[in-house]
Amino acid sequence: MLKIIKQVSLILLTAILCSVGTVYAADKAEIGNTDIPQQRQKVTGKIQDAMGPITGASVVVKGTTIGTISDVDGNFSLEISNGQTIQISFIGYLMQEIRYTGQSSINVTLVEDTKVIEEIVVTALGIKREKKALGYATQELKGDALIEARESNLANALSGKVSGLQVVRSSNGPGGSSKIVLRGNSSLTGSNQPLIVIDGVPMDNFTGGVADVWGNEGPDMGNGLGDINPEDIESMNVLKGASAAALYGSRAGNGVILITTKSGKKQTGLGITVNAGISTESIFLRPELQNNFGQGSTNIYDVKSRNSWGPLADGSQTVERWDGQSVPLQTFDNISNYFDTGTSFNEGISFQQSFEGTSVFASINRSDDKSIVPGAELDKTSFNLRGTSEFGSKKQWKLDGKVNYINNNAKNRPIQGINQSNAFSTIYLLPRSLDITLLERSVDEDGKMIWWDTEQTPQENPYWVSKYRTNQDTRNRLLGSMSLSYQITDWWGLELRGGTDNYTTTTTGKLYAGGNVRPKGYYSEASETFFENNYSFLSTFKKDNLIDKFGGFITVGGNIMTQNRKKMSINTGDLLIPNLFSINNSVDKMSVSVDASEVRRKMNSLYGSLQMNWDGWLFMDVTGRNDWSSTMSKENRSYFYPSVSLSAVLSDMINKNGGSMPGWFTFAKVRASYAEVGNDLDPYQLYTVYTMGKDPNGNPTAAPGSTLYDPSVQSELIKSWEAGIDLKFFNNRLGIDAAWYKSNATRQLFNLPMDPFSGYSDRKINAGNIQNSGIELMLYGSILQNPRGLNWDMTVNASFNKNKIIDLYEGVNEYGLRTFDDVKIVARTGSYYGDIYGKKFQRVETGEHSGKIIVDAQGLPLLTSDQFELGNQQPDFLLGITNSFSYKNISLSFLIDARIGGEIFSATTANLYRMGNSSGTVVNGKRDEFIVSNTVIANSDGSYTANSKSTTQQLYWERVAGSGNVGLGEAFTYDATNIRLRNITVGYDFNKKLLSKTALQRLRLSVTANNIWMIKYHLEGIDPESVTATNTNATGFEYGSAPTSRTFTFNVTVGF
Amino acid sequence: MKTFNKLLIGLASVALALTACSDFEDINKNPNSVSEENVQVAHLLNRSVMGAQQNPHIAERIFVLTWKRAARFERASGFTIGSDNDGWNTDYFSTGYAVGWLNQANLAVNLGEKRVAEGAPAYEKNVLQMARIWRAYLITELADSFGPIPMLNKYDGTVSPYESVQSIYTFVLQELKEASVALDPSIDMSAIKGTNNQSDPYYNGDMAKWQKYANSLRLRCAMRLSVADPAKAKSEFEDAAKGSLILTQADIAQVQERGGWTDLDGVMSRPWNAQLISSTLNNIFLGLGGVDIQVPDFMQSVIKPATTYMGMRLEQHLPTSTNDPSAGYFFDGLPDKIDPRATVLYNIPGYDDGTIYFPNLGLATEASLANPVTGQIDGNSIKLITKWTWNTWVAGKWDKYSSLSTQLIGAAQNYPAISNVYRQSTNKRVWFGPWETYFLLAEAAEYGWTVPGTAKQNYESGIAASFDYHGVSQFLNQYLTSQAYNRVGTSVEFDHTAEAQPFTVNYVDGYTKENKTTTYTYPKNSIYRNGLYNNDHLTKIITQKFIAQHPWLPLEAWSDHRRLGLPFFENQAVEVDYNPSSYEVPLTKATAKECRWEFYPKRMRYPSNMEVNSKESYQQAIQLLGGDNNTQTPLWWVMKK
Repeated sequence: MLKIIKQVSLILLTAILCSVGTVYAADKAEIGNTDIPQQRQKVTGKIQDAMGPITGASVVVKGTTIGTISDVDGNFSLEISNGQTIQISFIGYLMQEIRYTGQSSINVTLVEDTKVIEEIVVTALGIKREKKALGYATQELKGDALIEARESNLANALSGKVSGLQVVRSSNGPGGSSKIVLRGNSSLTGSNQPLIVIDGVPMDNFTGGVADVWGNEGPDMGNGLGDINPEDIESMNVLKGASAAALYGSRAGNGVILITTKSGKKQTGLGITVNAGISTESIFLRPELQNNFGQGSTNIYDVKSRNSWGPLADGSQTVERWDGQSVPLQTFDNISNYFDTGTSFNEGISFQQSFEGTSVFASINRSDDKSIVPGAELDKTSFNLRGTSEFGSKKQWKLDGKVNYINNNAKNRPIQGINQSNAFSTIYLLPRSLDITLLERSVDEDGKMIWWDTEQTPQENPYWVSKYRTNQDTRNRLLGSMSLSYQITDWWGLELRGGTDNYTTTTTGKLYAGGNVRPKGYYSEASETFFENNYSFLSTFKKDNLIDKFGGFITVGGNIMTQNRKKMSINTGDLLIPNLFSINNSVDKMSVSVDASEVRRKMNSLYGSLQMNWDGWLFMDVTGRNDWSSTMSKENRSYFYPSVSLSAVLSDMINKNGGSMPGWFTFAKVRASYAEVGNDLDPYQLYTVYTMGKDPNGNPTAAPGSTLYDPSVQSELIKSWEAGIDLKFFNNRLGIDAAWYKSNATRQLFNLPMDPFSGYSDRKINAGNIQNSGIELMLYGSILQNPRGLNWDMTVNASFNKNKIIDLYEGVNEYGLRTFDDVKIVARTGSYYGDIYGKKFQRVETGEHSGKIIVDAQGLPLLTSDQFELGNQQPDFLLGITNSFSYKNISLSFLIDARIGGEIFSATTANLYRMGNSSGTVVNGKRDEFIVSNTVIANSDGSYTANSKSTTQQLYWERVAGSGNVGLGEAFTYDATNIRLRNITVGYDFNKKLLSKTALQRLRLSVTANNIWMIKYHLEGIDPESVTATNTNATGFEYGSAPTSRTFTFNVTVGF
Repeated sequence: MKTFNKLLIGLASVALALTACSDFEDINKNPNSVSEENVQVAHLLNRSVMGAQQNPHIAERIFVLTWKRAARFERASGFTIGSDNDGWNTDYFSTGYAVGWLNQANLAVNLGEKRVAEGAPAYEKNVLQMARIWRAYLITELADSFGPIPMLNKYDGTVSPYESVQSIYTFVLQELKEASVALDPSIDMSAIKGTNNQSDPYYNGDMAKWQKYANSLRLRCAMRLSVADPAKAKSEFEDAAKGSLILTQADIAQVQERGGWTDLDGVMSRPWNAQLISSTLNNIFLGLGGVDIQVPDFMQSVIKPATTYMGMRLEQHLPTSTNDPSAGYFFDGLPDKIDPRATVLYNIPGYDDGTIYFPNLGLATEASLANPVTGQIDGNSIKLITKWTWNTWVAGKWDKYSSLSTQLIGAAQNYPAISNVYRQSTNKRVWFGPWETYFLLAEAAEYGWTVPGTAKQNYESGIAASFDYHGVSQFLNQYLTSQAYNRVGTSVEFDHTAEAQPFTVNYVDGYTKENKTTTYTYPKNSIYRNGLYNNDHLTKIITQKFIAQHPWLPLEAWSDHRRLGLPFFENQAVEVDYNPSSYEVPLTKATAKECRWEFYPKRMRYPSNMEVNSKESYQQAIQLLGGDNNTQTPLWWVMKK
């Protein structure tokens, strides 16, 4: 927290630095002529803090206007008389007074002040506010904290750092997508992701993870936020609740994350920073596989079997391998042998400087990631230029412009799900005695794929996939904004702003001939162009002490948003000339499929806010926003969202009314708010229309849409209540920020599945009431504070959320988030979002054997035919604990991240058991026959007898894990609780004194490690964070997911 | 204050601009959409017909892995033993596939009726009848697979009531009758025959053939009721039989395949689906018709007697926990007598003839069996020559046998597999062939219904049509008069109804190489006439129909078995008890040699998401079904236990 205050103070300093300097310089000259005390002496000194010299500290002779500021080396000189007192102050530090008694030099070490500075935070529409005036919860993260996490995807850097925020990761390597959920899921079908606003301009944070368990929808294309270079970020402010976000109206239903990028700040030295990092990536958790038994069944080797129920694979038995070679039967570590160590290089140069009211920030960043999946690569290049200038006679004009160009190139993004091309599931499920490296030569003389198993379900050789089933995509993205503000009078300001988020993604897919799925290969090309432009104005009126102790602040603004998304994709079908990848090389022109779509929308908005304060301690905000959306019908296209919030700073109230707080009680604030926000439809969802197409012979076909639309639907409405307290103790060394909230997402616009015989697969309805209520707690403490010794800060983020389904739709009490055979994840009225259902073991209900599992004549468990609730995918409790230590130039911080409660169904684990690959199928290195414990046999008279019939591991697991398509729900639903050491960062900053002899201003070395230690979890080598896809709301279902990774990053930052 | 006013006016005008929404209607119009006026009935119908051809995705799941397995058209476990796949059912039972096809057909009928009422061009009247006929077919495809469904769709967002299978058949029979009558062959249909507008992939606008298709479909549907409602079956059948019928190769209802992963890709074209000959079919083929196997001279040396010689007995490697009469043997050669269609439909292992052989399989050479003591292939292993042999074995649960004999049974090249002709997407997918008409007529005549021709005539015409289709007509006469029994105890000659008696057959002990003999006992098809008849007229008719429908019409063959219990379907191996909680049929080691009604799947399950997504419909459907949503609940028209 100290760090944050220091950062805030630095921002403030830069804002006032020039003027202060000017004032003192002038004073010195003038005063010198009029009031020259006798016996004046010149004294010099040096001002520093624990880290080194302080530039710009003010040095004033107490009771006079004589003063100066320290130079870049912290030095100052001043004329002073004996007996006078020097006051040395610097924002963020405690003021020191030193009586001059003729010392030849005065060296001062300033101590950071933890009390005085009012925290200034960026709120909706970019308005900077004192944090104490806010009636709702926001949480700010500094750029440093985000950078230090060294996550290639910015979204992942938020893990554990913000209370109430959950990051759902897809773990699909460097380009994989992640999803952010704030305060639980409020929508059944929507993305549930917060709106991302960068420098006042919304950004498209699409999620590219696919939902289809078969992996048929293509690879995970990453999420939008992942495009942003963390190095460019000054701060990130998370507006969690509706009140904070109400001014964003539509789209703010899931909260807002405001990102402020760096603008040029005055730098000592050149202002150039060079950053270079290198990281390695490896698999964090891997499934627990057995290493005792080989390919086969019933303890007999079977070269054709896909299972590992074969004989002991201790090398003593010689068998004929799939390629006809005679080899000793042994197991292989195929996971290690196939997957590489991922590497990533990251280099960046940034420049920032400020000259007389004009500041510039420029950066170039490049990263090259090579995934653990052979052949998968991602490179990102980002150019960012931001300039701000204040001009006019009184600097009443301000221009702020930014251009950020991003180029992403990805090769061979991995395919997800139980697709034949998913290397992870292929390698996991390989018979244990099969050596994957033998298949590295993946093509035979005829150009056909080599794979050990040619006769069953068409799994593809992963080496072949990496070379001959390739995909590539490029995204060029431009984020730009320009704003002009004019302070018309001292109480009236006006700002105009325009911004764009514009990108084009092009993808190509090549399938070479010789594979087993589509032997003739194909070629596909696709492009997607998106832009969103926003034009807005904002007018601000501000007057303090307007009437008595009343002060006020009014803003009025408006925005025009236009959005356009155009997609085009072409697939050749079978290729005529093998491996000639051209759209013109189709076997049959008729079978070339072309898909084109264009989606446009527009939204106009007017909004305003009124902020009132009484005596500087009582604050009330009222906001209102009206949106007009092109996607709604004429009657419903205009809708209004209000919010009101109250904040009372009790400590100030007491102090101002003559009372006093105990010395240890520094600050107390209570707050409460109510807000309504919501969302409109996606375009073209009012009327059901026909689309024309062509059959493969080129003759026309016509078909209606599959969703039944209702033109009378209204915008969504989320009502949100929030209350909180903010307490600070011991001169800010200990703080608690607690919030309670309840939000009800009503009138949801979602597609309710219909009986397909209605003609539609679903219908758009306006219904539901999903309630999220919870408590968020942020605790921070400066446990040790010693400028010259050890410092220890600790931050604890905790959140409890209950995500309840109050109502769905008339006559509907269950909504399927995902149904897969005997396992389903649903939202059920009266229950919590994301209940997991599945089959269970048949058990005795009453009597002496109550609870025991009933077995059949073979001694194998009987399973229920009905589905039962097995758990819920939502965590009960999220906890993040960050500890930061610093000692002189060394800093160390680590984050422990815990998710408590909730369940996950792992179909991967079920598969591993069914096939005999799991280590759980072996007991002490053996697979002896066993009697399933706690089992009984049902007698014909209704009584039960203890079971004495033994069975084999194979038969048992074929029954339990082979039930249905994904195994028995009860057996493979796991507690998703996990506690992990998410991140450790160790940094060393070279002493400024040491650097002063060089051209360097700053030199920092750091090492960061992510996913270091899974302290506690309940699955068998599957990270509960590795969900199958991020664009589904059924995150409690895992099937063939990529494993999560562990990274180590070494980083050097050099400032010139 | 002037500046202030100006700014105020400026702000007000900006505010005004922000609330102006004049272009919103335009922005929110989907550029890819068309309105109803621009849509022709034929476009809607064509979309439905095309979808139902089944692209490779759905064809693999439904045509191959569900229907072909249910009908014993391929050797497999899975749905053969009752275990289905919810994901596949979900797919098929959705607007994306089968239900969507029916919806589109309904939409075509709805729009057609509207157009006709508004005085549409004459050709659209016929298109409407085509749509009704096609819809009738699609209704039966779904109803025969799942059971009760709603047949109609008003397209107003409501779901028409689910109908019992009985009402469905009442409706379908009526529709086919009416549509057939309403078709007017004299109307000029060139509007759906033009370049880039050929919307009738079946008959290219030939209305007379559509009439035949409608009448023949009506025969099929009427016969479906032979057990459940014999009176209605008779009257409908007799009425339909008076109309024009599909009786020649030129009348076949079929659609040209095209390939390239489209709707017109061949339904059996997935290269990894080996589609091996089933024991059911093989036992029917062996010895049937008394015709010599047609192989080149150089293979003559491996030919062995199909009926008096069983092959090598390998009971330590091949399970006998089945009522398959050929179980436990490896036939070390080619059968001397086999149905002439067998070697056209299936390749001879190890022989690349250039047409039938599918190169992906590889050529069979030899296979070693593991030593049952060590589980390894070692000095005591038996090496079998599999080149030029003709074998198949039941699927099911083999337990240790599968590992011991994996080189033999785990390798697709050691089995006859479906001909490459059906895999290349250059064929025509057959929906209704003349043989089916004849076998339906034969069955009707056998029941004593008034139809053209006698049972025998129609039976022989059906075989002739099938022989014609497969290009083996030169063997027809010899075949029709054959009294040779196949391995199920059925012969071809219609009047030869003597039941086959157990007899002594030769075999070689696979382990000692000794020549031995045993008594061959014909299987008891206990679900049909108490298992006492393997060679009565009806068995002959349905046996021949089963062969003739192969491989295009597995759903029909499955329906015949469900309706009559014919032909004989053996159990798959039961070395481990089956698991009914995974929807497998309740076969146990103890009952493995019995033939019981519950050993066969009766229907596909409604997808699991139905219970969540449309609960009311689900409850309606289950109530009408009259049983649980599992694969054992029989449909209304099936045989009675």
